[in-house]
Amino acid sequence: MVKLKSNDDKEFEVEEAAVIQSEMIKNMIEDGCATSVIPLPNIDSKTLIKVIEYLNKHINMGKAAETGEEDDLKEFDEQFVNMGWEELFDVIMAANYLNIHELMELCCQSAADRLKNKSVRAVREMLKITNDLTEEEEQEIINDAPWAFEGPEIDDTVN
Amino acid sequence: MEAYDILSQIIGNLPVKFLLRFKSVSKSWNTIISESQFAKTDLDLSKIASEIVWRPKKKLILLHKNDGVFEFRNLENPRIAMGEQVFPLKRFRNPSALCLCHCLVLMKTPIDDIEYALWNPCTNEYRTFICPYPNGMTPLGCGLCYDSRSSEHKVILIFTSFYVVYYVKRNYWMNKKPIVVSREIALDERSQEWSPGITVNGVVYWSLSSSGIRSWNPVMEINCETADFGYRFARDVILLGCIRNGEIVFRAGGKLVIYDPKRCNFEYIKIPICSESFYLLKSRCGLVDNHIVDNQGVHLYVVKHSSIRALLGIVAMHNLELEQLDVKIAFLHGELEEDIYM
Repeated sequence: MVKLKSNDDKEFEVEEAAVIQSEMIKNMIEDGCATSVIPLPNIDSKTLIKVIEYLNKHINMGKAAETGEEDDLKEFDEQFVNMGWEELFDVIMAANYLNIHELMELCCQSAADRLKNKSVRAVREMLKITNDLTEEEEQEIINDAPWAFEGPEIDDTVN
Repeated sequence: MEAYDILSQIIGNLPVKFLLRFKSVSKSWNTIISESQFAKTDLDLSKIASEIVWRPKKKLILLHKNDGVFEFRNLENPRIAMGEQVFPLKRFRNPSALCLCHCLVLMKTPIDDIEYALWNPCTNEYRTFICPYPNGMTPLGCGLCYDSRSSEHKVILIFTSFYVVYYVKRNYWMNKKPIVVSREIALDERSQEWSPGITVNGVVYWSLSSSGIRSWNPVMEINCETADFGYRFARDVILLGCIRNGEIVFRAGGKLVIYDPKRCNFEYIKIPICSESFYLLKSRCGLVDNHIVDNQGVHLYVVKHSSIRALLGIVAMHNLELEQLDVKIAFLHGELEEDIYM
């Protein structure tokens, strides 16, 4: 078992087999610097719980394919990314920090799926981006590929 | 810096249309999309797509799901679907994707031998063109290639006694060029199977069937720039695809055949076959850049070592386990219930 500590000082015990899916922790264990508690100053306990839930489920990725549990895993993945924006970004940051490749891919794909079909205005609002392009610059981008700015699918809602 | 990386990873998963649209979100988005992750192709495809074509760095597989619906998958992680695209031209019923070159796909409907379409599934733009030559004849094969000299795409159609080239940008058909394979052997006009060509380094390759000497068939090649053709014979080969170093892979009976265009050399690789023959050899599948891809999206790496690559192929296709055993201690592992291929 490996102990992880979130930035709000909560400790979590995780099986080694699960936790080594994180390249970062795997390296730490291999180098022998994971003897006591591993502090994770960038991750709060709420996000860490999510990440551990993922790690535990994905513990035996290779086995799952054999036993036909792949669909089950896929379903879990779909459920897993069903969370709020803020939360999703927290998990992405954590996955990036811990270097968990599969989780990173999954969450980034989910984030991209949510952005897909959105209007530019909606994207700015969703990600709290202020538009720093001048009107001419913006027009130029639109003129480059006007077809990309039209289409029946454009979704102006923010969620 | 870190946030920048993450952001580019997220938008790297978006289809091209949205990349272009989201360039106008802010300055930093514009920079990310324009520079870091995505290379603007230097190809002038303006006539086809009517816009610039963008090619994401990710390698995508295009799978045909059902009537005109295609699905993108990431080659590195095929479990995750990257979105769907529907071929927009409804008139083309049950279209099939024949050839692929850069971002363009040559489409044809099975009910018609005259009209073809070039489709860019990334931008969903398409353009149709009509072949003036067939006179009721069905082409035996087709190819799509890019001529970097005149910077345009060309479509090649092969008929029994001649072939024609269509210049995409200029919308112009070259005159027929005769095909004489040899005095004894002609291309088999009864062949019902379409042979899509594969483009490697500016040359399109086909395996065609011939009438005459049984079991030998010509491997045709047409140079994209000069439109000259050449051929050589091999026994019973069916084209599968190409691998990264430019070698071309065929299957022939129970063997994989690797053809090296530089040395003009066919190399036969024996595949240990079990009673019900090896998946790869009975299914229609292709190779994309070192991966074997079929309509189920199964894939595997074809490694350089020639005999190992075939073995690994079987293992991955059947989802078997690969164990490396020292021959001396193999008997210590007790009774073997599974079949093991060595």
